[in-house]
Amino acid sequence: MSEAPRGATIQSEEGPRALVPLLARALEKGTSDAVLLPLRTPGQDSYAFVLVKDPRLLRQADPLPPVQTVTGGRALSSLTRHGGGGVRILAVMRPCEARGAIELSKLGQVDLKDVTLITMDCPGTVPLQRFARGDLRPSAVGFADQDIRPICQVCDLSCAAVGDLHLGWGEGLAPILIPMDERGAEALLAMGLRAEGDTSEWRTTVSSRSQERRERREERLGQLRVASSGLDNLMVRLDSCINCHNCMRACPICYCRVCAFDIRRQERSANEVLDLAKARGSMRLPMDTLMFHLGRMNHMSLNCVSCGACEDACPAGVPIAQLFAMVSDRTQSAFKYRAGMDRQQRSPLITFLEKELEGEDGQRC
Amino acid sequence: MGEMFQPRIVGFLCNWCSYAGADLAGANRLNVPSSITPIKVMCSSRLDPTLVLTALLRGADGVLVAGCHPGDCHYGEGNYYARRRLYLLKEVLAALGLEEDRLSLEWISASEGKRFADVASDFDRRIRELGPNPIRKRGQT
Ligand code: SF4
Ligand code: SF4
Ligand code: SF4
Ligand code: FES
Repeated sequence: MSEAPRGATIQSEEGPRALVPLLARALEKGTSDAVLLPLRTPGQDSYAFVLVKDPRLLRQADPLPPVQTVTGGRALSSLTRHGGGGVRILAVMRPCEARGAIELSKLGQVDLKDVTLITMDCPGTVPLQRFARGDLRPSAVGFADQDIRPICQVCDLSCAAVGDLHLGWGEGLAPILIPMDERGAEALLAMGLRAEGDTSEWRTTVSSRSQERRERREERLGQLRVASSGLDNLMVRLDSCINCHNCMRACPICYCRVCAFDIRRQERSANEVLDLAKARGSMRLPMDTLMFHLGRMNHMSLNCVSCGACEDACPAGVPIAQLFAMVSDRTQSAFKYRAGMDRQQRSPLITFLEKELEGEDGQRC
Repeated sequence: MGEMFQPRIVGFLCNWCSYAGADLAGANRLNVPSSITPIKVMCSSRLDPTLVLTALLRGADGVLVAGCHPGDCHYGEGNYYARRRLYLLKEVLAALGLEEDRLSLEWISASEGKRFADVASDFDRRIRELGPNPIRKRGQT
């Protein structure tokens, strides 16, 4: 946007919960058919994405839950994979989840045609396993840096305004709703608000926060790179992997019904394995650990949004989202792409330039 | 290691150009290293990078992919896509310190028998310098 966007300041002490009555108003007004957002589950101790028709049910809503359960992109995909059918949806989610939804729309797995994405400054989430064990109750989650997931600690896009409408509120700012495009402006209008306020304070806050995070990301992922570089070190990182493939199943980007790296697709004959064991001295079974992880990185690191769902889903403590972040930061920057950031930019593998990627000596590949 | 290292290199060669180039090198009795096992593919873009990865993880010391020169792909633009895909795979390997130099993509036309021999010899030499693929000694992958 050439001009600095303007926003609507909301008089509220509630941070992101300030959104709830506004969503209800938009729903009552009939400009949207439903709201998709995280709700407290009836048992009160977890969260789920729910498609809400009845504005009264929005009372259970928590636009920014302390854990990530199913990612928003995944939820939206289950709803619109075969087309949105003209249903006008306000979809509320974190920036990484919205970026997942945007990547999925490029992959034909989400239909954003009638969806208004609403994002907000995100303070991070706590590790799912700690939350599920009950170490951290919803009320006790303070989003302190030591409590949030390692992948959140290095998230430089935690305030990325990728939605049509974005709620700025981080670092003690009064909540301000900022339309990023035409569709966001319409939603704002339906909420009975006008974008008349200045957003410079929010923008300054966000840019310094992102800068800090970027530096931390480079530093931490740099350390991980040193510690995981080379076959031996990498296998140490992946040692505890139990080949359950949860990371792939929880990943919003991995939508394939059958994964190319499913163990059962790679089984070899006993004799073949025995030959390998003979040549190498021993053979760990099943043999697909590296193939699975490298294969996935090759399939979707260009689309990885660093949401951390994989690491949350890993029962074995593999720092898989951090490894993915390390790899995808490199692959994405190699193609000048940042997953989920630009809806117009085409996914790198379905396009090309005639002259590119050839090094000075004529061959880089 | 007592015995001399004999590299095993998989060569994925495009039917319309590099495979014919390799043929020509043979017909002209040029020196082509025996370390290369040629596999014919119908286009460099027909090659799923997963196969390259599979070869490397199953112990190939090097993988050479060769296709038509830019602009000359039999199917128009296949080699441009192949270039991106293999570049991506190289970046993934490089990010993890996994010897991306074991993979190489080259353009060799059907009339470039000499070039095929040179490229193959040069790649063979580079792989000899790198030594055996360390995965060949690992029981855990
Ligand atoms: S690989 Fe992990 S961090 Fe990346 S998009 Fe998938 S779940 Fe999120
Ligand atoms: S790794 Fe590849 S095949 Fe497997 S689910 Fe992900 S994208 Fe699909
Ligand atoms: S990294 Fe974790 S979640 Fe993924 S397959 Fe291994 S044990 Fe399962
Ligand atoms: S036909 Fe040779 S690279 Fe496409």
